[in-house]
Amino acid sequence: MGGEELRFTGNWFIDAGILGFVNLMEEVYGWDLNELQRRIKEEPEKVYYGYFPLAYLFHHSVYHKYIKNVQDLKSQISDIGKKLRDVENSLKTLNDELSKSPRKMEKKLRKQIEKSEKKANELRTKVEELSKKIDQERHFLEKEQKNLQEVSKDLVEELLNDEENNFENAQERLFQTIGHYELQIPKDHRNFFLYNPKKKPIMAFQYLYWLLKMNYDRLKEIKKGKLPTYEKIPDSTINPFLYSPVEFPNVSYTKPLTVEQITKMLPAGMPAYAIFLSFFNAFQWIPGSYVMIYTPELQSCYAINKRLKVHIQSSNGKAMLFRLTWSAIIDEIVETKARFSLENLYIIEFENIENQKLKGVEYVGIPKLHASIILDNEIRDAINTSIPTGDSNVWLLGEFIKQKTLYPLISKHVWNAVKDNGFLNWKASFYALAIDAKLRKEGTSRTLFDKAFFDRPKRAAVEAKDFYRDMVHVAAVLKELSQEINGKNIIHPLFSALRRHNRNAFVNILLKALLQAKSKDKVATVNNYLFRRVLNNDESWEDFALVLIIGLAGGGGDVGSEGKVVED
Amino acid sequence: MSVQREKLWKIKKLSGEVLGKAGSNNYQQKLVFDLLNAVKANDQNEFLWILLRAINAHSKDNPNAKKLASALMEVFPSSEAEFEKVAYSVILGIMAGGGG
Repeated sequence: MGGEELRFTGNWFIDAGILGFVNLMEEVYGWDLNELQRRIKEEPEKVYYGYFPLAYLFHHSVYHKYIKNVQDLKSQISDIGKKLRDVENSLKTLNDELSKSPRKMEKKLRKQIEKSEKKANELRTKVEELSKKIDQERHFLEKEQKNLQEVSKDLVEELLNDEENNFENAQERLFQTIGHYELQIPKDHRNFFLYNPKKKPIMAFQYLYWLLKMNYDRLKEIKKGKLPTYEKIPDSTINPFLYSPVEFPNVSYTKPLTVEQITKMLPAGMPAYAIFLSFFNAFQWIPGSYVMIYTPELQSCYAINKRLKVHIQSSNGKAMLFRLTWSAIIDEIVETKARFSLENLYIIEFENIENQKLKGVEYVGIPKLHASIILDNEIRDAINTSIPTGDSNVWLLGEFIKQKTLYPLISKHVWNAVKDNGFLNWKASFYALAIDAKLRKEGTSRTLFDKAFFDRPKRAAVEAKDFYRDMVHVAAVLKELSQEINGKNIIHPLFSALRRHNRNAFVNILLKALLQAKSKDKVATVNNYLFRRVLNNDESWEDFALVLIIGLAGGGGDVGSEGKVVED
Repeated sequence: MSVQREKLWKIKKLSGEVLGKAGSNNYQQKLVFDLLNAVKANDQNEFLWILLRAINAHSKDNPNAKKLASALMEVFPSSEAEFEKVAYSVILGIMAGGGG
């Protein structure tokens, strides 16, 4: 029987389960999405009813234990590390004292130093031992994983052939493989039959198998005559986000879905419980919360979350949630140029799954226009920086992604630099203003669905760069003129005019100052710019005007020789 | 919107051709300075008064002077925002010195 490809349904809860399923299979068998899709196409039964339950049991016993042990060992190492640092500090103080102390104190100090050194060595040995233990744990996990991968092919076949006998004949082999698994209840389940009280792994497999197959008679047998409840209608026993039959007795008003009904929503052949049991595997732990970046297309969602995992591992728990998630998303758009699939992007974040402490489902989609600008390496690199804005530093790219206007930030940055004679980042500021100008122009476009509308994502970056070059050029010219026209003296009045959105005052002050200049050709360049970009531009004149202040303020070593003239 | 833009280009160009090279440097500086003060005060009458006097003084045998006068006739009197644009187009034209 040929299976249908895995795909998302558009319901984030179910899709999280599908992603979790993919992650789980990848973690245990090392199959990436393509490999999994291929297998599902060729042998869906084996994947869903053979490989998956084995992977699930492996994950919640061997892997779970590995994680727990490694965490314990790491926290012990960190405790010892603290002690070691204390000892090393005191050693340093003792050595300092020794170099300054009189001879009669020397003996006593040496003794103390010797004692501390011994202690430090002991602690170092302990750290080494613990690190070795971590290695051992990893080797053990790898061995177990390899074992499962090796035997699973034949085992799965044997199991599926022995379904009628409730796996009586395959039990011996099953026992050899998973008999020693010690199941640990995952955070998202409560009182799940599989774990409470602890069931033998063999029985757990049988139960899982029939649960996935939706065979309630068999489940009833295994549960010693107890009727299946949440097995038929999944509830908070399986996932706290599902309805709770105890806490909400008025549930009949919002009739929950049965497993059969849910199955109809899924890609053909996929058992509903494969999703419910994998839900938790979709999320990554970033200190403080569990996070999944959700976009309703499996391939992108899988790729972004995979990148997120890599970023989290390399950040060593230091980076912020926002930066981590966005780095993952940006990497993905840059690589795949998948600007269209990113319009529906959510970050699903919860603090604690046991009591549904959902922090938020934040919509973070990037419009085509923004995505196409981010895709441009030069622009992205330029604004992928933090600039001081007085009270804090702001990550420009982050603000852009949040679709905030960049003008106020750059205005603050320039003011900050002018006021305190601080650093003024020309490149980032000009690119930010150029993008802002471009977006404002788009925002006020009155014609819908004309040629420009369809071309705009393609053209957006190009136009922003045109603006940028124009800005750099005029700012460089004004920087040269600044001395001639006493530029520093008009910065404050110009700023004040700009703050009051008074174009008249702005142009007036600047032109009066320019009258004093002797370099007529340079004045002509500025005047030309003023006419085209400030006077004839009602939407974004402030962006272009701020550039002139930046020019007067000076700086600009960071833009290089890009100041070519662009006339339109 | 685009018509307005074209009109401003025309006014800028004509102002440059008529007054961009008129008189000495000092004269021109004074003229622009006076015009800037008139725009600053948003005084359309004063602006026109200064401008027309200058055109009159320097328009001998200059066919563009007529064109400029008729272009100005089309846009005056105008709203405050429009006036600023027209006025600065004239000023920038003069400062460009007939070079565009």
